Amino acid sequence: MSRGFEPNEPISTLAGDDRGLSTLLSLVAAITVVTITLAGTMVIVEDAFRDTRRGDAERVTAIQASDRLVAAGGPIAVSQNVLAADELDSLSAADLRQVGATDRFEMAVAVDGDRIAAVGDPGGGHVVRRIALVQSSERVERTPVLVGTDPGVTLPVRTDAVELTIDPPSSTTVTEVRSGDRVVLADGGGLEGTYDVLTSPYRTLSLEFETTGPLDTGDVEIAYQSTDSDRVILAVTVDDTERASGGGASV
Amino acid sequence: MTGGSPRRIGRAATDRAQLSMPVVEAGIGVVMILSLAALVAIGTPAPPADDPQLDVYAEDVGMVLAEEPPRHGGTTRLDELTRSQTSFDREAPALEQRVESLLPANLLYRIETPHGAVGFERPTGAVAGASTVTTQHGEVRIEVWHP
Amino acid sequence: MTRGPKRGGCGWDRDRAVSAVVGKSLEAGIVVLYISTMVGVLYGGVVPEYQATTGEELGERVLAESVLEVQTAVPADPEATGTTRHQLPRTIDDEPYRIVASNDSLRLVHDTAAISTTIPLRLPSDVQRVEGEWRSSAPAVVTVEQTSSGRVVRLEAGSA
Repeated sequence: MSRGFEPNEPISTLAGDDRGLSTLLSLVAAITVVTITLAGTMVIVEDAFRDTRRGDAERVTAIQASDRLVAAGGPIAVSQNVLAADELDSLSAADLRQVGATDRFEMAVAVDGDRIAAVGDPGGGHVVRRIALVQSSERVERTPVLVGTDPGVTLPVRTDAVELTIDPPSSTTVTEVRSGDRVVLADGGGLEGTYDVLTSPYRTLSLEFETTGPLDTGDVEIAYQSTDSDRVILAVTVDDTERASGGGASV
Repeated sequence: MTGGSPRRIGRAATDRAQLSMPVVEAGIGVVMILSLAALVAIGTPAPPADDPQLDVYAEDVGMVLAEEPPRHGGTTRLDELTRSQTSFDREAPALEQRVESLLPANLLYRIETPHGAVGFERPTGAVAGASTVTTQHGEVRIEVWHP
Repeated sequence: MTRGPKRGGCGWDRDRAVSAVVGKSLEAGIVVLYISTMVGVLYGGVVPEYQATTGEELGERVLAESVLEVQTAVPADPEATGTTRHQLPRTIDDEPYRIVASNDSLRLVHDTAAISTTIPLRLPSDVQRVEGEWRSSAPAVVTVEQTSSGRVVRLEAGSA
């Protein structure tokens, strides 16, 4: 016997059990969907977090080290951004520790792509590149042409120091030597021997000799350091061993 | 009446009247979670507007040029360049060659002096490194950027 | 006529009502269980891990910026002296902290051990020593002074 249905009375076409079951099923389906969304969101957030791992410590250590290496007073620089070729060749791990390498912050220095010194073995991390000149110098000795009394000499050279060897003939005394307008050597009794003289690196080398008599070629010898410079790219790589780095090429 | 007809009518009426609540709730939950995820993704910082490596390249070029001997007269290369208009015009090509030999390959540059500029036009919006050197005749500004 | 399955008449009505109640309670129970499980998993493991990571990253960032600030305040020129102000966030992970200077490093000191960290500090060779500390609750200042044997760098609390 079926009961009568009033109009507007909601009816189930299924038995009571089946209707409960169907809502239950849709509940399970709903929970599954929400869980999957949550898991997917976790993945997105993890990704976003990984992007924020910036490696600040190793970046700052690399910047510092590169500053110390190219500045005067460091292990390899002669003056700001000018490096000495022999010091560069002998760059050691101890020098790197002096500019910031530690057991935690591994560091490597490369010149034009070739690694020349390292503390540890940084495989990734942060790289800072600097433009620098490498200066190699050698001693040059010149015997300038001298004629007459109070001769002058000009050499197509700029240097900040010169070694003068004065050997005048017995009839002549050299009383004064000037570089540009500046008196660099003076002795009323006569200059004779080897002297170190400071000159201006901003002017071509020119020397004037004040003498009592004529000087001849060979009475004065001039020696100085002639420098050659090459441009190099100095690359400093620092890797923080306590943080997983996000990759990046090492040098 | 017995049999099917009340069932048929009943099914239609039910389907129209009741949307399964868990589905609606799940839908709301999914929308909320996804909008939070979007917030996190959007919230991560934008790429920085300056490049410290380019800045330091510009500084290094400035340092080297400021201490280099000049080709003819003056105390340094930059001093010779900025001394006068004629001096600048004469030295500008040599300066271009020198800057190109100093900078790593592929970088574009612009050097501005009181007497004129050397190098390329900087595209607006390009990330560039800059540095300024003060000489006795005025300021020299160096800009470096990736093409 | 045999009776059909127990669906007819009053019996069916009663069963339907009971099933409805049982069904709804079951649904409610499942939902509550799900939510509490999820909240437990999130707040028990995932969220604290994210908070800790954020704290560590922030600590490293604050210390790195402090090192950079000190570097900038002490240029290579041995004659350069002066005072520079620095901005520090008041707390990391809701706790105040200190930044302590020594001759060769800057150290972040925080209650959470994982957030405390050290970064090497290398200043120009004419700097004789680096000393002092910053408290995150006070304005931070770097002073560079000239002495007979070289420059001295100090981390101090500045006047607001």
